[in-house]
Amino acid sequence: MIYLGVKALHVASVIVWIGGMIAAQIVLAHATNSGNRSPQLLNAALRWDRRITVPAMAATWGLGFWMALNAGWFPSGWLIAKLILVTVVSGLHGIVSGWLKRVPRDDEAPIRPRPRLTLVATLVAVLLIVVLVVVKP
Amino acid sequence: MGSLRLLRLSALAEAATLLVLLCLAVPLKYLADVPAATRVVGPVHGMAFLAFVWVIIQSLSAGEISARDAVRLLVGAFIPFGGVVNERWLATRGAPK
Repeated sequence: MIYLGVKALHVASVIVWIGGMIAAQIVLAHATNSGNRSPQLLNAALRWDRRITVPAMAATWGLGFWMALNAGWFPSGWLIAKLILVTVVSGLHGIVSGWLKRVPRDDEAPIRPRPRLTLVATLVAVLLIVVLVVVKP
Repeated sequence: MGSLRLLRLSALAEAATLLVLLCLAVPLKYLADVPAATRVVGPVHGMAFLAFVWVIIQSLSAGEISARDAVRLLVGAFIPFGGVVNERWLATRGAPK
């Protein structure tokens, strides 16, 4: 019963985390492509990321590890593959989160943010993760 | 929160958990036959390390540190007290780039 409760919380935190990532990347895409770097919108996205999305990511990791350890999922192949993909998504979140801090203050950033690229990568990774979790090959 | 404060905090947390793991948990496991010590502290240090790497990626993406700084911070994470040294270095860096 506890395991199912933790699993429910894990799925909920995943939804909040990925939803927050997608929203941030849409805001960044609008800011970088339209040239309309609305400070209010970018700062709101940054605050949401700090207060909601990042804690949701941390909860996803913590709850996931608890389930993996308590249900004996290590070292299943599908879980190792999933961990690699989750690490990639977490890295993408770090990059996007950094862009949220950078775009409002730096009009001529040497590295142009590419939120559309990271958004596609996020969605592909999430799709693969879901397939791995459901099919467990 | 200052731009490098989170980076400094996470560097210290990673360094602290590494020291607890190496200086307390590992000796308890092998000298006092208390394997639960590493079973508890190990994952805690693992999460602290992952969090630290995430903050490094974020700081690099935000332009607050250079790629060279990021490599220095990562190498320091694997060395006992390296995180403490890096935290002091970050504290004296001054304004972000």
